[in-house]
Amino acid sequence: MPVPLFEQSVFINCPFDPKYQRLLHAIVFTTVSLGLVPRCALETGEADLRFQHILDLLQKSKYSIHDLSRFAGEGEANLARMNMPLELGVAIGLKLCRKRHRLVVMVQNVPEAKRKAADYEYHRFISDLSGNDPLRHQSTPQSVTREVYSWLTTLDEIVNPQPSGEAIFAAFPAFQKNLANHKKAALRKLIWNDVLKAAAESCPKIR
Amino acid sequence: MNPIFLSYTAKGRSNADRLRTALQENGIETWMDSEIVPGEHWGTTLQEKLRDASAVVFLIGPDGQVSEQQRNEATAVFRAEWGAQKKTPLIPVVTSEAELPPFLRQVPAIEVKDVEKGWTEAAERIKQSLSGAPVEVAVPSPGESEQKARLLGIWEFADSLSRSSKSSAASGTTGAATASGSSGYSRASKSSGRKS
Repeated sequence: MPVPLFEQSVFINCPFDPKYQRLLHAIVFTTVSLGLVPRCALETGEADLRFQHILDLLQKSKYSIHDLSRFAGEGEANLARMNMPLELGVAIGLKLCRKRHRLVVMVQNVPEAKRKAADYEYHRFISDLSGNDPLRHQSTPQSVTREVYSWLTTLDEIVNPQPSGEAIFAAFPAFQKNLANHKKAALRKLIWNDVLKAAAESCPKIR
Repeated sequence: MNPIFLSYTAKGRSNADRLRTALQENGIETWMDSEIVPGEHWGTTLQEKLRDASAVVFLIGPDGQVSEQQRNEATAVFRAEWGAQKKTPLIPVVTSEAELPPFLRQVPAIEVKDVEKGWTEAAERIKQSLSGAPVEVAVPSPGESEQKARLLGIWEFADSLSRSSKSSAASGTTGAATASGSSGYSRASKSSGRKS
């Protein structure tokens, strides 16, 4: 089985619910378009325990992207999701101890109208991130592509030359269409492998 | 012309000061983060200065490394120019022979061989590159073949994940490709998918 190189692996820590799906697809598509390999908990693993599987993937990835957009409480019990901050903590531990891990945090941007009052809202729920300004998106595939591209494109291991961010986003509809074809052909819900394959097939080619 | 943003590493601060002086002698205004005054928000000020800069000069440290802060500054440049007509020139200045990251390979690096006296010449070359003189790509590009190989590698990796999950399912050890509640995906492994 081919194993992705540590230097080219990017662990993705984000929500997996249907509402976030297009944003996850934008992260995956941008990552693959730059020649890097997205890894995440949806990937098949050997470990019995889910958290062990995540630790394993994080250790095999030089880079990680963490979207903390869903910090607010949800549902009748008003519970916040803790898995993502937990995985961010592991990544920060790797960064500090191994010195070979780089990570970036994304948050949902504060709307312009509220900017003055709560410009750095994330400071209120994770103040220890001060000094590491997160990437801010507007919960759209375009803004997620822009932010992820702007960060990934400064890494040493991306394919050179690389497609522009605009070219990647322009190819995003073709990727979505290709995903739908994979789903139709498989007669089941999409699995992670389908997403990776569809991304590799659809990314903008460098001429 | 707006000031040039001078990006440097902590170890390269003295070189940055020398380059700045040489640029000023050539009539080129610069901005460095050392100008941030108490009370100013560090991140916001940096973003504004990067957005407005006529160019960003990346002074690579004596150890040949690009610092994390410099990469963050490059991220801010790429974000700001998304969809814009004008691209901000990124000009690498090196004092050692080190391989530059891909984002700094768009123009030839300016090499300073003598760190005591070479800054005037570097400033003149920066001035020349800002005048619109044509630039060449510094590093021969592996181009399409490298991208093809990478994408094929990713596709094969994904395919091997599919095959390993199918064989595990056949041997009864995993619940491959089973639906997982409200998640948008099925996960081809033992444990169930998560919502968050």
